[in-house]
Order: sequence, then C-alpha cells, then structure tokens
Amino acid sequence: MTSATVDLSVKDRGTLFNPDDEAKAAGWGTLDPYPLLEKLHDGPPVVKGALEDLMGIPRQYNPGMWGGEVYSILSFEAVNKAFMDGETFSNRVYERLSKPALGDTLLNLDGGEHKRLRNVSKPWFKPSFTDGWWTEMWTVAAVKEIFDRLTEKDQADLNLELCAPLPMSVVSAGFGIPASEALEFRKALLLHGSPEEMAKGHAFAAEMLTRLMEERRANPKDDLISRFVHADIENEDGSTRKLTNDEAMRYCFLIIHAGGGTTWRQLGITIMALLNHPEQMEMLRKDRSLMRQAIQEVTRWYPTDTAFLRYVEKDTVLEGVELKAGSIAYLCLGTANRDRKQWDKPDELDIMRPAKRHFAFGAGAHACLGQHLSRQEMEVALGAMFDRLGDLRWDPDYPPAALGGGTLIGRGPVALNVRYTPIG
Amino acid sequence: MNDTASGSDAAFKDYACLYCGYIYEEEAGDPDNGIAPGTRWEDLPEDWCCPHCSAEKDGFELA
Repeated sequence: MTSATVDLSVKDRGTLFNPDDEAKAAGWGTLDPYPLLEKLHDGPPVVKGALEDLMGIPRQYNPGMWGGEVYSILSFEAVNKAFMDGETFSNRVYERLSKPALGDTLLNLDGGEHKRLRNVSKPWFKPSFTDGWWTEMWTVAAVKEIFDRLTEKDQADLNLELCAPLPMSVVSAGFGIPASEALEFRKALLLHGSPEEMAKGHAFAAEMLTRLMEERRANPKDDLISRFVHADIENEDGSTRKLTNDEAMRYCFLIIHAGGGTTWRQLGITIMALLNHPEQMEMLRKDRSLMRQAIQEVTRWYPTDTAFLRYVEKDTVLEGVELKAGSIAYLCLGTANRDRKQWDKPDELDIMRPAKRHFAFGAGAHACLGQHLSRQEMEVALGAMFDRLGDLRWDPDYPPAALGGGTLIGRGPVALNVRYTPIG
Repeated sequence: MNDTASGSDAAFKDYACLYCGYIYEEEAGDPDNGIAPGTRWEDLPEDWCCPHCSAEKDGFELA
C-alpha cells in the first residue's frame, strides 16, 4: 500500500521540525518572548524602537537594512489598525525577507497585484472547501495512517510523529506531491542557509514541481497543481489569462512552505497546552463542540509567531504617535493577543472563553491564506488523539516539554514525549 | 406590510469577519467582487466569501 504520510521517525529530517534547530540555523535567539513582553503591557501602544530592543534581546530582524526609523506596535487596537490599513503598512518588507528565496509571492506583493493573485486560490481555502475537499480527500487519510502507526506502541514524540508529518503530508498530497518526495521537497525550500545552498534547494524544488506541472497539464488530476496550471488570473484591465509556469511555481512554493510550518508548530503548542492543563483537556475530550473555540484560545494565548513586520509607506499617526514614511513597524501579536483591555486574565489559557478575533493568523488583506485549513487539520488531529490515545500523559522518562524556536518567529515545542494506551 | 427588518428603508448594517477583521458594509457592498453597493447581508450570494481570508458568511457577526 502506498503511504500517504511521511514517517519522520525513520527518515532523515536534517534540522527540520526542531524549532530550536531551525531558529539557530537562521541565527535567531530562542528565549520565550512572554516574560520579556510583560513590561510592555503597561506602556504606550506604539513605541519608537525595535521590538528586540524593548525586550532586551539581540536583534532577530535587521530593520536597519531599510534605512528608516523603527517602531513597535503593541496594543490590540493599534495592531488591528496597522493590519487593516495595508496602504499605509505594506508587506514590502518581504522583498528582503522572502523574495530572495521564493520570488514574487503573495507575501511581498500588495494592492491590486496581491488581490488578483490571491483571488486565484481563494476558493480552494474557503472553510467549506477545507472542511470538504481537503479534509475528506487528504486530512482524514493522513490522520488515520499516522494514528495507525502511533497505536502500534504506547509512547511517542508527538512533535515528530504527528504534528510535523501531518500538515506536510496533507499539503503535499493536496498539491499532488508524492509522500515519498515530500520531505526532500520541504528541505529544498528551507529559507535559511548560504546563497549557494538556497539556490541549489530552489533548483531541486523547481525541477520537481516543473515535472509535476507538465504531467498535470497533460493529465489533470484532482489536486492543487492541476488547479494552478489551469487557473485563470485577472489582469489589471479586467481581462484574464492563465498563470505562467513561473507564477504557478512560486505560488506552490509559498503554500507548501507555509502550510507545512505553521500548522506543525501550532498543533504542537496546542497539544502541549492541553497536556499542561489536564482539566481543560478532559473538558475538550468530553465535549468536542468546544474544539473550535479551544483552538481559537490556544492560538490567541501562544501564537507560533510573536511579531510580523510591515513597511510604512507614508507618513501617518497611529495612537497619537507619528510614524514617518520609510519606517519599519513591528506588529506585536504577543502583546496584542494578551491585551489587558481585550481579555480578562489574558496570560491564562481558558478554552471556555468566548471565541474572539485575534492575530495568530494575521489580519487584513494579508491574513493567512491557509488559516481555515490549518484549523481544520488541528480539529481532525485532536479528535483522533482523544479517540485513539487513551490515558494520554507526559512520558516521565523525558524532561518536561518546552517551547523553543525563534523568540519572534517560529515558536513551537521541541519534543512532545508522551505515553498512552493505544485504542483501535 | 411590515417589512422594517430587511426592507429597503432599513438602516444599513456592517458585518465583521471573525477571522481577519474585514468589515462588510451593506451600504458599500463589495464591488471588487461583483457585489453592488446597497446589497443586504441576506442577499449576498451563497458562494460569496470574505475578500481577505475567504471566510464564509457564517464566519461573520454583526459589527
């Protein structure tokens, strides 16, 4: 039988899927941001200066490369205004952060160009499509295979054996990339490394994708590569044309790269949070109707990314602070998602909180394209975890699980060593 | 006929996306996606979705 998932417990993953290793490869510090953000809650909502400087840690980003001033946007209201005003706070920063590795993508484009490109794939990431096509075609099968493996034993590292392989397998399968090639493809798209290494990886991924695109152009299948190579995009004048090979390839690179990483780490954070709050885990196990609000709460409480950057396109005033055109703004999800004016006891995890909007998946025109798919994958995975791993608990033979990764980006558990009674 | 709730004279309402913050303003519509100004929430086509994050109508609440 052909495997639908990647078994990372037996495959060489390199530095992938250990948030600390990935952060160190990028040269980032790995301190937990939340104790360092605590003091910022009592200050002004917008502050001049880089977020790392306010937190007292080495720079993770290099905002000086843009040449302008630097601001940190901290409160819910201020972060919301910045996210929602894409004409003032643009994604031009990604011309230096992602474009060198991925080319022009949704990440670094803005305005009409961004909207027209995003419209191409919008139907494939609507909640009804993720609940239907993605879940029925790919997620359920991948989850079943992963849990069939897990229930052959009574202990596991759920980071490597569930959280990492699930989204990589689902996104790869949805695109039409065979599971046997998914890990090599993801390794090749790593954003870190020397320019030579990145170029070599990019060439490898491009070669693989070109082959698949040619195959799907001739013989379309029910997968996303087929949809992309036959997709129409609207031109500025309202006419339409097919996506070019290059456009389709860059689109695929971005989604496959993003789709494997965020859900991996956020699912791990969710499982870790539940295991550390066993009374809440039991409530969720017994009442699955709480699943959606539980995921909303964990992603509020500890989003995998602590801050996003934006480029200030024009002089503006935000919460009484003047920001000059050409500046860089840190939009701090870590403080905004724990804004004392928005939530009662925001540092506490409480899955019974009424679901409320926050910024774990961004907001505005650049809100995460795959956020509905990510939530759905987490729901299916957590449901299976409750159904098939009885008496789930931390493995006492290992040190307590800890969150790692970059202080400002890519946080998640390094390992989730658990014991359980296999069911089914 | 009493039709104040959704009739053409009723005040326009705004609906906020719970996921990305986009506001659908009935008065403005969503012309970029073929929705004319003045289109009431209940008259939006079933396949309409949030222009930013693709959430569907059940992902919105009255603003």
